[in-house]
Amino acid sequence: MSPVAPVLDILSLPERLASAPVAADDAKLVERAAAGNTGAFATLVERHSDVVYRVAARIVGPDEADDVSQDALIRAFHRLDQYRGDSPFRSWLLRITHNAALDSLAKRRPTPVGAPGAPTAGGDAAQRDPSFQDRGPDSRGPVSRLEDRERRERLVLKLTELRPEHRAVLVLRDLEGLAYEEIAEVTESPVGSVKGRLHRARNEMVEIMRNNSYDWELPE
Amino acid sequence: MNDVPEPDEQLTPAQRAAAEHLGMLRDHPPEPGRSLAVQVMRTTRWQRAIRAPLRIAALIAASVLDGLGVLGRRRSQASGR
Repeated sequence: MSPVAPVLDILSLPERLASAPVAADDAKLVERAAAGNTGAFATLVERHSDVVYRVAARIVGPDEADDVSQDALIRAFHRLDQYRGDSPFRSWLLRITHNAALDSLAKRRPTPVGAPGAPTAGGDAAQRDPSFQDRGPDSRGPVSRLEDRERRERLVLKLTELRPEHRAVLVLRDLEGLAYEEIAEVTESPVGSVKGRLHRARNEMVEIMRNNSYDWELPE
Repeated sequence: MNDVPEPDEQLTPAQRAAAEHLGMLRDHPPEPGRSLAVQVMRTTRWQRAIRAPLRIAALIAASVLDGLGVLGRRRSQASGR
């Protein structure tokens, strides 16, 4: 496989994720939910809780992902009457999730490195991230799978070292594959700012991966 | 806003390599437990159930306070005469 294939795969995600019929259907569900139909809201939760959780988990980490996701979905429920329908419901919901995640990070007290609860590779927080769970039978050996898992753990920790606003755009673009326009709606920033922030986020990620790291080979 | 010239997707070799590494996380996304949706719906149901009574209670409380304020002002006016 070409070395740039995964990158091209990332870049084509926004197009693949475009789903106009779902968005139109969402708008009807929002209308019904705002009128008091909790079943309609349950459908919206079922449909979007995965992406809400993924974004929350990648921004705040696995320990607080549940709380932030719940907070975001409940905030959304109480603000349904404020949804204007001029952007997809998913973008609106991710905006609330993004804000809830950044609020949670802002409230967090800095934890000294090495203190109980501080993130460590292979630590409790990393172990709770389902990214590290092995998924079913695998043709590779157990040693190889363990190595992959440990690399993912280290990568998640590297991600948490990014500045929150950089982490958010990197997660939305490079992990969730959102289009720039949607990221602009989610972060309430102009598209140009999103692109600039993403560029800086990627540079910061490169620097972090180069620091104290022996297993991330990055060209100059 | 501090817009920089749009780098778009013209990644540097190092950024491209970092993006490839991040692909590992994309392939293993964190997934919510079943309890997330259940918990959210349980909370929204009870909050919705008490929202209307709370609004009515708040309206009544505001009216009572308003009335007490009017009464208080009348009394102070009466005692001032």
